[in-house]
Amino acid sequence: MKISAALLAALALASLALAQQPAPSSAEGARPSPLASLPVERHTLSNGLRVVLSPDRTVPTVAIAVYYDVGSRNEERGRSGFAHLFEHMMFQGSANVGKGEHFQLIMNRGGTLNGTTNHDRTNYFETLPSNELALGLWLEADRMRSLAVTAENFENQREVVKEERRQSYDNQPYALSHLRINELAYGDYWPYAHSTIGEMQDLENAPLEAVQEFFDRYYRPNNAVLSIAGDFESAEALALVERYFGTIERRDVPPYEPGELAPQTAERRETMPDPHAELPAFHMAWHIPPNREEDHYALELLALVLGDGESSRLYQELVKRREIVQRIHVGTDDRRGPDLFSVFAIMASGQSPAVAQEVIVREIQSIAARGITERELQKVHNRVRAYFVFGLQSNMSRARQLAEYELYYGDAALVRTELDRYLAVTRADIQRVAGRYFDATNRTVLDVMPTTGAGEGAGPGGAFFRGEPLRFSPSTDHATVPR
Amino acid sequence: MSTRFVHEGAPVLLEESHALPLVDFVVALRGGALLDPVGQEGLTRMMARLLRRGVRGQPAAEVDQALALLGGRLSVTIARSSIRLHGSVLARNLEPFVALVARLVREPALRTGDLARAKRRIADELRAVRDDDGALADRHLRRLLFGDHPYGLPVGGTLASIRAIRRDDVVAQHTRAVHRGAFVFGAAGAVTQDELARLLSAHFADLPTRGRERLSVPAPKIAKGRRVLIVDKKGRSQTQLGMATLGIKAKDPHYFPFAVADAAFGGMFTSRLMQEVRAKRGWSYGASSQIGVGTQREAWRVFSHPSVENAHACAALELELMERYVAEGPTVAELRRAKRFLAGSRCFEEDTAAHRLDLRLSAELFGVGDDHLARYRRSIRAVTREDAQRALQARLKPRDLAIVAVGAADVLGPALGALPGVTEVRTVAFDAPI
Repeated sequence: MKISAALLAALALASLALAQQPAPSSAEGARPSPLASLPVERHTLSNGLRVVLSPDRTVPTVAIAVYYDVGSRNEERGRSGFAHLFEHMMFQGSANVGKGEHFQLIMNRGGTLNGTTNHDRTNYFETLPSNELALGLWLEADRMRSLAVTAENFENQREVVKEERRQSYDNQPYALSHLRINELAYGDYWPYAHSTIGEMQDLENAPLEAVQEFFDRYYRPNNAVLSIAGDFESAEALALVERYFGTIERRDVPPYEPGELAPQTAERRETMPDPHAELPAFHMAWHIPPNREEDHYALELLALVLGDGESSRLYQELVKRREIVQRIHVGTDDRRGPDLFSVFAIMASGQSPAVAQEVIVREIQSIAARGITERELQKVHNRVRAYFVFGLQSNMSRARQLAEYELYYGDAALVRTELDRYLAVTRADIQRVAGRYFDATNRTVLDVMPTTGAGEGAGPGGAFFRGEPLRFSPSTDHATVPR
Repeated sequence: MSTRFVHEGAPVLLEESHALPLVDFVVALRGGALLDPVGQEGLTRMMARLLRRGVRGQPAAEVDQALALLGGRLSVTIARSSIRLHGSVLARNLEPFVALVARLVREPALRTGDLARAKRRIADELRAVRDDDGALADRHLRRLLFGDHPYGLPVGGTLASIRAIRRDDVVAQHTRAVHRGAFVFGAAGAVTQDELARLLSAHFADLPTRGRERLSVPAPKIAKGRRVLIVDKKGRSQTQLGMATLGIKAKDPHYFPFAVADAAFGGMFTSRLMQEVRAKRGWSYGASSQIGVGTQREAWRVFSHPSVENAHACAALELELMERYVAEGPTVAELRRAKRFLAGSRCFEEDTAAHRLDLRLSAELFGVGDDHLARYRRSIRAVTREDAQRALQARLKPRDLAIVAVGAADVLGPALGALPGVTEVRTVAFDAPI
């Protein structure tokens, strides 16, 4: 069961202070946050680079994360997939680092590294033994300052990304449906309607000169957050940051102006065939407010009540009792902008989606009418609390999520109060949001039907097959290194 | 702090750490899918799965509720050589959690109705594997390499073997798998040795004493030559390409040199395979090699996923790279990089108590000794180029390969059949029984 990204963010963000306090029961939600003493030091260099430090000497490792405020939402029409393709180019060399050397220098020291792109941002990160902090910072600074672009490298990475698309989407069951549901739900709202991986034709058309333009436009210190977590001394780390990043030139970054998402006024429904799938499946999506708005917390807990774990309502009803669904996921997508509450389910053999969809709608209506039980609230509060504790152990998770909070919400320290915001959600809040966002007119439904015989081609379907160009929208991070 | 003690003859591994108010608790049972009787593949997995479906007098829904209320997580993993029940729970809830796990292991309900439901769900999962080209390639690759040897049989069973399982079979398998000689316990986190010993005495007392059932796994033998199997899926633009031959076993004297040699060849992003296939040619998003570990020699596998057009060239390149690598071994630079990576990255595998416990449990279950972890870095650093080359030449036979490709047979059959040294090309439908 997926926990929402916001929740995962908070999961990873606690300090050892949590170990010193028993977790509160659900009735204790008003107590001070157990994350209150999480070390979070925030600085801004004169060139605008925001720096977050979270020292923790428990394990002799250090994690570095650099987040750039550019994702596929910033792409122009006809350039889908470019932010991610560009991310690959950031591993192809910089002024003082040759092609492939970034990997070698980190991995020779036992470190790990990667970069990922999603709709809202692009990140680069590495873990190293703590005595190699300077190396990691120098490498990140070198490529923030200067990118080495050659036609040969660009063509090579274009091919790699096309293979990545074939691997992750074009040859995977249900994968294209995850893109199609976003396209349907977001309609003309380009930032989230199109995919991070991009369309094959757009990848094919991407010109070499766009790489340097993209770098000059978005890869500026004043458009980035650098986060370091783990075994280091703050003053020394900050001095290294100043030395390596301090002289990188700032430059104005074009404002992000996405326009408005047009309100949905009628249910959107479509059926798409999937030649790679054996069993029918379906998506349901409802428009909800952006991540971290007040109702979002209650909606995340509603998702846990409905679909988190084997004791959840929909798992019990659809998977265990009726056996009409094989797998089900319920969650919020957690975008910075207009978000979706999503359900994805794969049917059991011989079952069609309609009955399961009725059950889901009825279950939400039931919560809107009668609320959830105190026991259910206690259970999801315990789940949230446990998720926070489970996520405490990784320097990398802390570095990444602190960077994300700084970039998205302007203050990494907000994570200190994040658990409290979940624990403050009441039964009445969950009942209220269940009644507020789930009208049929706010709903998009996509049925996915297998076609007989692997790869025999798609049969007639809905709008998907009426000659409209396919535009996918993002559902996951896309990484340089296969995971 | 690492400690080891014995509870009723069963080893108990503890990684005590009070950094977080969290405990990981593991019950491992030696055996796993290797306990499956011939023709009943998937029986052990079925039995292990039913452990989560409630205990006598307490239905599954109540167990699920109880786990959720404790803020705990419990997963059941079935491998060829072991079953592991792995739970994580807040330290304050450890006792009721251990009590619940003990009841699940020792007094499972194993109800007929739950068996019927589990059979239906597993059948659906097996059908869903046909959708997953990577998993499909791997299943066929093992089967092609090992044939009817236990290492070639699917852990999850087949549609036919699952259909044939009866409740009596499951009960008998539970009796066979759960006995004193099979248990290994582990805990990591905020629990002391005294507390853990008390909990085990309270909830895992009087384990069934039928004596340890010796698992006898014969040494696998593989066919000579390069055998190609095409799993036919029309319309695929990409090929899942897997190659395998025999590798090493857990107690192999060549273990560490082989591990270094594998990392240099295909175990890292900077390895030779990734550089040649992806970085230089852009033929595949990923290209890697993997070592399997077992009490007998397991598979050494190479995977990539080129487009259909590049499948032949990619496969031919990989064969050439393999042959040259076995003949010449890694370069000095490759060896140095691999050793640094394996020794240096160890700190990330040992960075939490739970991770350390996991490594120790694996060492215990494979019988390589509790000192395996302590000597890991030293052993890796000591590997010379000659050691690596000797290990490669002693163990890898790239002329005797199983090669599986999932994709369009009309294109892939002729293309891969033309690879050097191929003695056999067969095609099966993607939905054919494995």
